[in-house]
Order: sequence, then C-alpha cells, then structure tokens
Amino acid sequence: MPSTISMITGLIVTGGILAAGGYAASYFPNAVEDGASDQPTPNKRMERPGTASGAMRSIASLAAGSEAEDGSSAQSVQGVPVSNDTADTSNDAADSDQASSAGISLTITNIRNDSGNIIVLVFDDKIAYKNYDYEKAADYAEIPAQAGSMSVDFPSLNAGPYAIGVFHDEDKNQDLNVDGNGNPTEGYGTSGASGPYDDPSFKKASVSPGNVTVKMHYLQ
Amino acid sequence: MEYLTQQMTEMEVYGWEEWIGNWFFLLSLIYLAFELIRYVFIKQFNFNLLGDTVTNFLTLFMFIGVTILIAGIYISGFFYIHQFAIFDIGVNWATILICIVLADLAYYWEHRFMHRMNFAWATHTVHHSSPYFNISVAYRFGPMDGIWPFFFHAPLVLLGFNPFVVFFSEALVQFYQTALHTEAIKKFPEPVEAVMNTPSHHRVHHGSNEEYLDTNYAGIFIIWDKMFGTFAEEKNKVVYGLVKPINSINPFVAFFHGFYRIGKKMSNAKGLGNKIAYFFLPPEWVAKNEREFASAPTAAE
Repeated sequence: MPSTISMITGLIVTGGILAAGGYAASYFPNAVEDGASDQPTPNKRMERPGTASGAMRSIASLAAGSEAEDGSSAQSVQGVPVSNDTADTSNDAADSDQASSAGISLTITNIRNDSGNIIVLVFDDKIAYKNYDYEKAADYAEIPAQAGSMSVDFPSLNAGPYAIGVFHDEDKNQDLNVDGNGNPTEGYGTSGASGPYDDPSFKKASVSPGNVTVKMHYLQ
Repeated sequence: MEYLTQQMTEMEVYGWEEWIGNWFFLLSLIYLAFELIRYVFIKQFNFNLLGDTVTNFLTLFMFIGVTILIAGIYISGFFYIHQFAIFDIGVNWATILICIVLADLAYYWEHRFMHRMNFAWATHTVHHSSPYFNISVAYRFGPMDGIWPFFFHAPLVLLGFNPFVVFFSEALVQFYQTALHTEAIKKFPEPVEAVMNTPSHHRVHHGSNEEYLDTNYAGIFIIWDKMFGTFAEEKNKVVYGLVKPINSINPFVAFFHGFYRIGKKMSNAKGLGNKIAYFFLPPEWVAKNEREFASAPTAAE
C-alpha cells in the first residue's frame, strides 16, 4: 500500500490536471449563431453585457424567426407583457402606495437619445442571470427609446428578488454592439451596478418589487 | 484547424463512437484469426485455448447484457451532473481530444482502484483470469465492469464536458487498449514505448509474475504509471492469468469467480471486522487469524 501522502499527492496532481484540462477546453465553447438553431435549446450560455454581445445575439436569433414571418423586427415577444410609457414618464403616487403588490416599476435614466429600442431583461434565477438566458427570464420588454428617463412596468413580478439588465439598442439590430476590444458601443446597465465597469453578481443586482432605477452607461 | 472547432451534435459524436467501435471489432476478429494461425505455427494451439477464446466472447455478451440494464441510469446520471458544469465546453473534435487525455488519466485511477480493492477486483479479475494473451482476451469482461467507470468519469462531466463527449472518450480509451492484447508484437521504438501504452507494457500488466503484479494500469499513455510510481518494464517472460488460476474455460466460472471468491473470503472470515476488511482491502490481504494457513502473505488473487 503506497503511503497516504503519495496517494494524496497523486490525487492532487490529478485534480490539477483535470482542472487545467477543463479550463483549456472552455476555450472551445459551443458557438451561438444568428438565426441558427440546430440544438434543441439554443444559447445555454451567453456572455455578460459590457463584455460582448453574446446576450443580444440570442435575442437576434429569436427575432430572426419572427422577422422571417412578418418581415419586420419583432416589437415584442409573444406572451410577454410589454408596456410603453410614453405618456407616463414618472411613477404615480398611487403606484408607489401599492408597490409591493403591483410588481416592479422600472425607471431607466441617462438615455442619450431617442434612437432605436430599450431592451429590458428581468431574471429571478441566478444561473439564468449569469448566462443571460433570455428563455429563462422572468420578464422581458422591448420599447422605443426616449432621451433622458423613461419607465417600464412589470405588474406581474411580485415575488423576487430579481436582477434586471437593460440595453440601448440604438441601431435596432437586436444586438448589443461591441468594438474590437469587446467594449460596448451602445448603452447598457444592470440593477445594483456601481458604475459602468461593475458586473454585479445576482445577489448584488437583486431588487425587490417596487420602484427600481437603472442607469444606462455609455463607454463610447 | 477550423474543422477541430466545428460544433457537432451529440448524435454525431455517438455516431463516431459506434463507427469506430464497430470497425475495431471487425478488425479485431480478423487479427484474431491471424493470431490463431500463429498459435498453430508455434505449436501452442489446443482445445483449451480455443475454448478460452470462445469464453472471452461469451463474457462480453453477458457484460453487455448487464451494461444495457444500467445504461439508462448511467446516462441520466451524467446529464444530471452536467447541470452543474463548471466550465462551458463545446462539442467539437478539439474538446474531444482534450477529454480523451483526461479520460485516460481518470481511467488510470479507475483501473488501479479495480486492482486494489476487493469489491472492485471481484469484477476485474474476470478480465485477468485467462491464462492466454491474445486479442480475444481484450473482450473478456466482468459483471460490474460497466458500472465503476461512472464514478471516475463523472468529474469530467462536472468539469463541463458533454456526456456524449465523455462516453466517446471512455470508449476510445477502451478501443485503444483492445489492440494491446497480443504477444505477436514485441517492442516498439523507444520513443513510443516511453510515452504510449504498448503490447509490451500491457503484457506486464497482465503478468502474475511477482515483479509484474499491480503495475502498468495505463489506458493510452504509460506516463501516468511513470508519474505515480506503478511502472514496470518487460524483462522476464510473462506468465499470464491470476496468482490463483481458475483453471476453467467454463464461461460462468470465468464471469462469476470474482464474486464467488470474495463471497467465500467474507463468509469464512471470523468477526465482522475481518469480513468488512476483506470487502475493502487488496486481494492479497489475509486476516491475521488465517495467516498460518495462507500460502504466502504477498500472494495476490
């Protein structure tokens, strides 16, 4: 029987080699392609906003399907409530009285122009949030952008906690554009983020039903 | 190069596994015919050898029967674990190549475990129980040989390799070893012998010679044995089979003798402590109160 120490050493070495192998293999993830879907569940993992446009590619593939049918960019995802608050630019007093039972009232600030759409993804699941798995999002909205501030309501979201990500899709390509270095050229924001370079964990981004404010950041 | 990173579907990977496996089996049968003719030429052919060859394939069928029964649990177990994958790893030849190397390392430990703990040796002894060494021995399997791999390859699934990629890698580590079960190929050039597992290294592994016991557990790469101190070079003529031979070509004796032997050891043992010890300890271990009757303390079964 070899010594306990040599067995433990052997197992540690083995663990190290396995970890290194897995890490090396993660440099070959499954590709996510626009419109392509030869897998039953596309986009198992997507990249976080602020680093790449992986998240928006998934929405593009979703929209590409509906775009083929009606020839125009999808304004809303079927079955998901979309609210357009052009007439209601601030929260009503009545709403905030019933905040805990009237879902989330989201205010997005610092929007730089009226171009394109604001896309909102609300997650109630840590893994879905980490992967930006829109299929597992608790709610979703895509609404025309308004410069300055605007509001979106999600009256059905009364549980929580939720983590919210927003994007300013200025060119309406349903994708968060990035430059060669991976920095976004469009606006983005996350609930609980402390600044443009903060990528909060689900816990840090979590908000409860009520009034929530998310600031849009622009790097370029 | 781009071909290596092209994504495949799980069924494609499974298809490759089936295709490679089927061709390996066919080529093995052709090689077996050559080996049997060689036995005739070197005047070693006899009825016992032929019976043992047939028994090898009979144990294969019994093993497949058992494995089919647990296949569903095995597969769903892998997919359950895959939910907690640490890394995001795609399905393409590049990741398969990496997984094969890791699966080979996992197999080293699985194989060492199957030799050094009685309850696992009970199934692996079947493979080692033939007194001959030809390619048909590669297909000699025991009842639980399809179950233990699960525990040693589950970490690969947890790392993030797709279950089908892990199956493929497991299978390839096995297919490679099929070709090693022969006496007809002596030694390869030194660089090959230094890194890869070879018929020479594997003959040593199947040897019941004292100096060859519990060595060369490798699948594809012999480097793990060198790294973990279980390597032995082929010098003396190898004596194949078990330290205590089964002396039978009966396929049921071959398939079940491992369970029978461990069952007998545990039932004959005095005291619960000794019974449990016989379950977990290496095959050569004999309880203190039985030692004066044992042939030698280092005799392995």
